[in-house]
Amino acid sequence: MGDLISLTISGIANGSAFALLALGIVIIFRSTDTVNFAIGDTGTLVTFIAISAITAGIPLAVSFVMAILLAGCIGVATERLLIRPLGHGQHLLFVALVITIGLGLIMQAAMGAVWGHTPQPFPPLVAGWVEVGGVAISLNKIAATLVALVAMALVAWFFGYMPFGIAMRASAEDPFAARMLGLNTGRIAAIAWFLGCGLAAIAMLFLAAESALQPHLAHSPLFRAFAGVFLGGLTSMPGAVIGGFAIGVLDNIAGHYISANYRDTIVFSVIVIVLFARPAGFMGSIRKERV
Amino acid sequence: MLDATYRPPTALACQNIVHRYGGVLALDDISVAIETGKFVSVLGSNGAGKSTLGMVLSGVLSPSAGSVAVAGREIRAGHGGRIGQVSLVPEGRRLFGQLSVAENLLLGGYGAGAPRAEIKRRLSHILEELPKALRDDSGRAAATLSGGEQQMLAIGRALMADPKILIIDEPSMGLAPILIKRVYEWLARLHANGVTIVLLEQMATHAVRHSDMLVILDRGRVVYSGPPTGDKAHAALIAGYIGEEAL
Amino acid sequence: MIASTGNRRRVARAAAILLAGLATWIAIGPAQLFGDYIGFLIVAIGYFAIVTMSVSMLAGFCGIWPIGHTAFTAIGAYVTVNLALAGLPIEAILPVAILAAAAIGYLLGMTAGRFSILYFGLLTLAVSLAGFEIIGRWEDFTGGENGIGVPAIASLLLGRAIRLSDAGGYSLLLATLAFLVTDFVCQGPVGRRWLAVKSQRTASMAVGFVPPRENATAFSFSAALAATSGSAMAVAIGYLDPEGFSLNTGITMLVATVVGGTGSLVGALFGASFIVGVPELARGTSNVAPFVYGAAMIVVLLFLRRGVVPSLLNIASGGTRGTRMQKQPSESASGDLAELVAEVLPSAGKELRIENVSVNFGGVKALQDVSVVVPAGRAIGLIGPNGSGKTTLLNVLSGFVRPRAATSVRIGDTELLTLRPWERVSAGFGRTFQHAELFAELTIRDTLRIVARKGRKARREAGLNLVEPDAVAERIIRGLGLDNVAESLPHSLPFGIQKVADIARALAAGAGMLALDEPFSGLDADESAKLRAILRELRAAGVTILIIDHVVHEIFDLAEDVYVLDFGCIIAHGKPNAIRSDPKVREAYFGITEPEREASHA
Repeated sequence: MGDLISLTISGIANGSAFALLALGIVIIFRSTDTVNFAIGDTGTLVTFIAISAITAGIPLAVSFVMAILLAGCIGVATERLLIRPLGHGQHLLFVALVITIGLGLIMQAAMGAVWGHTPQPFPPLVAGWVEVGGVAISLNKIAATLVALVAMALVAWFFGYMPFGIAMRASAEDPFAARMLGLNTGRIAAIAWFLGCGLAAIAMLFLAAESALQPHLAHSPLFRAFAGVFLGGLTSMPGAVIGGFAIGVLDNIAGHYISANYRDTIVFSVIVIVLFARPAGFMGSIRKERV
Repeated sequence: MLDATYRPPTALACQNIVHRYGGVLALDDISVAIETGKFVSVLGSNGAGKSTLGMVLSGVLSPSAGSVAVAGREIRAGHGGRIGQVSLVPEGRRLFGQLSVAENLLLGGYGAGAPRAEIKRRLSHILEELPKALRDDSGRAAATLSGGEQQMLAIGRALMADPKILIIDEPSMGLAPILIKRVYEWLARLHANGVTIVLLEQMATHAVRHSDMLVILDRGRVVYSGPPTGDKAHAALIAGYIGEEAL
Repeated sequence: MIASTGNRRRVARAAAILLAGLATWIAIGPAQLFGDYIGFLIVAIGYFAIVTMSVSMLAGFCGIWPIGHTAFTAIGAYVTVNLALAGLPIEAILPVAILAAAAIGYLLGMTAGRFSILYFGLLTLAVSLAGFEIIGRWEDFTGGENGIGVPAIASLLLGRAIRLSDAGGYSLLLATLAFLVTDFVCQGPVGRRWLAVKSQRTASMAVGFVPPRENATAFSFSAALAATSGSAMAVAIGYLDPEGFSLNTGITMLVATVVGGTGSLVGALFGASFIVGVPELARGTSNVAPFVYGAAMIVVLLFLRRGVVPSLLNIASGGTRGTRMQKQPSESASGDLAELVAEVLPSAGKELRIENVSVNFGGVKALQDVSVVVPAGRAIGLIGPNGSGKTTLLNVLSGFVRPRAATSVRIGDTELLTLRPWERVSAGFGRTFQHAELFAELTIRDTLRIVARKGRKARREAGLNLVEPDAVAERIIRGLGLDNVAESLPHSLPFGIQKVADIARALAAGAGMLALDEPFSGLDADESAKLRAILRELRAAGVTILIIDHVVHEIFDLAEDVYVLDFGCIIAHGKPNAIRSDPKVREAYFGITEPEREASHA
């Protein structure tokens, strides 16, 4: 039983990165109907830039903030240059997804070319360890978890309190009608992509300190973030966060009790089961159609 | 020194509008002037260019050539959004189906840039005008509403911007006669309260009954512009293939 | 005439593919035109072209972009190796590998209808990642991370083991066969059906297509192609490394599809050449290939949306197809529709009987004990305010909604309620749609042809002369005056003509009973007059018609009996004149209350 608790606790800590990535994915999807496959690589890229800045002598915290803002800007540029020109429509969902895959490829190639493929160490925001419930957890992970929760709260406030949340969903569903009403769809999209990629940057900055920094760092977490998104529903922001944490726990438990070798397969099986049982996820809403 | 109640004689006007979709000419040198406070019907069969004209007049579509003026002042081309004071209820309504009734209405207010308190006030006012079913359950997704309810909601959403000019495109499509009646009654009330109404329609009967002025389009050109009654008007209606209900 | 031109074109294409395959084999084999190395590259292009085609075909014909087709190439490759180790000859190995992939593909494809294409695409990604992990771990089958060598494989046809020098030929042979089969399938009725289901799932069910089955066969076919590629790869390379089935490889296949172009054979070749050529040209410098791939994808998607090959062809042929037509008068129907009906409808003139249908949605009673009878060969109208349940009733008839309770819904003697939506058209039930819902990617002619195929059996059994789909389609085109527009795509047609084409489609399916969903909605007076004429003639020809609409004067003109629905109940039923003056109807539907009526008489 003790094992289970410690697995759960460390799972939640692991899951914080998945939760942040998942939240970023959902924010971008809800505002522009686009699944941004390059979101993880965007975060990794600015993390590399951060390490260069730190090595050049810029203070840790400043480099971190810079990286996050830079990621946001890259997100805005991505939407403006790659996604908006594609136009809008159900049949274009996949085209947008594929174009972000292309962007991810370019980013990975750039990172490999500039910084090389050898894994590098990366400093944590907060160093040190602490014991929680009998298991040693790095302060870095705890910080990541707290940041993820705070981020979710801020985002929830931002979207709930301000009319932005409604405007964002309208803008994704029918940009023409949104503009007709006077909404600035361009600005809405930019804000959403800035936020989404910024959150991803936070996730990667924390992850880089846990394992080492290398160009493919985002791949495995991104897969798990998607699993979290499916669990929580592609349309639900709180669901994405909770889903991310849940996958972190699940990953740990399954890896320990079932098989450490087949973690990806287990996560995949979870996705399949959830999709068949509740296609909209546990917290998502089924798109309503008049019969 | 302008009197606050001064209302310019021409609320909305367009001059020499030409618009092409790809190689197809939709509007061919159209000039229309709409006087403040009037109810103007623009009639024409499918493909005559009514919807295109509506979008140009409301600022949503910037025309290939020509200009649009609101209250005598020309609007810059390439606007692509809304012109303040002009609200469009487009063909097919274009509600946000995934959003609720209330959220659709709220967006009408936000888009026009109204302050929060004002939006709240307008919301409760507009809800009074909507069918009881919508008032009672304003959290329903718009996609679950019937055609008539959707039309009413679309009008309500446009009115949340408190427009001086309302452009409404084929409201009667797919609506039962009783609902067509209700829509026109609402439009008449708005007209009585001073809102300038531009109605784009195919079915002439109701439109003619309520209008101060008639414009008839045929294949992108104005073929009649003037009072809605009289022999000339009647002849133009018949020639433009605009049907009359036999009821 | 048109039919045989189509066939001649297909034969010409097949011949071209065969020639190309033969020429390539001769060039690298007997003629030794290129060195070993270039020869190998050409072979690689061959098997990559097969898998590129498998992805491209799914994307183009089903709208699904599978991100994880490496799972199926893996099946092909590893089954080949393991069965070869067990001593089986290649002639036995290949069918097994193909069948295994096809079976799994079929199961996966069947589920496609449950999800949006986005979710389904992400599901394929999950499959490939899990598959990759399994490949890495399942050492007995795959050799694990170290990979596995491909042993010598016996061949019954050759009478000996396949040598390295034969490997290229095997690859090219498979590539040629794969291209032939794919072209045959995709250019034929099967491919057309896939396109129909892709664009209009609901309307396709109304004419008898079965979307889950179409999705499953398409996916299964694509999986089989991918497995073929895997088998060819195994034989050509002689060694299997798990990296060849990783997500990176899956993405590379996506690059090939995007760059080359979806739904195009030559595009698949071009795309395959691209992904083989780039790493070769970039020898020595790492990181270049991903960069070029990413940049190429972005450039192509932004500027040459459909892929390099289709876009170039489009430019060469002089530009955009299907710009919206200005409204022009259509041909009038060629006189007597009675002849048309007699020639193409196997079962005109059956009665539609709806008895005691009740439907609840949550707590809302959408329909309460509704009964409607449409006598054989007659036209009946159904009117009612919005939200009164008309759409629900139509959905019950179509099979999209199941009633909570019902005594029966019959056409003639056939009970509809036990039939799936796509089975109802063979019982004689046809319907049209308020927005026409024509198949967006098919011309009118193609639409009528594939729909007419469904009715072939019924027509033959009814002893009709016109049975062949192409002939039936031409007869309908002529009869309804669609000659001018038969080669057009729906989006370029005026709405009035789209609605006529919708009726044509229902007739092509062999429906002897037509339920029309707001046929006059959105039509102007001119278009309404044409539609009215068609419906009058169909009625006179004995087709049973149920019209649901709001344009009351048309209904009163066409229907001899009218039902009025309000809040889910029939509130009136009778001749148009009686309905017109019924006070309940006047109040509920026309909004004329008694005081107004008094006033208007005063």
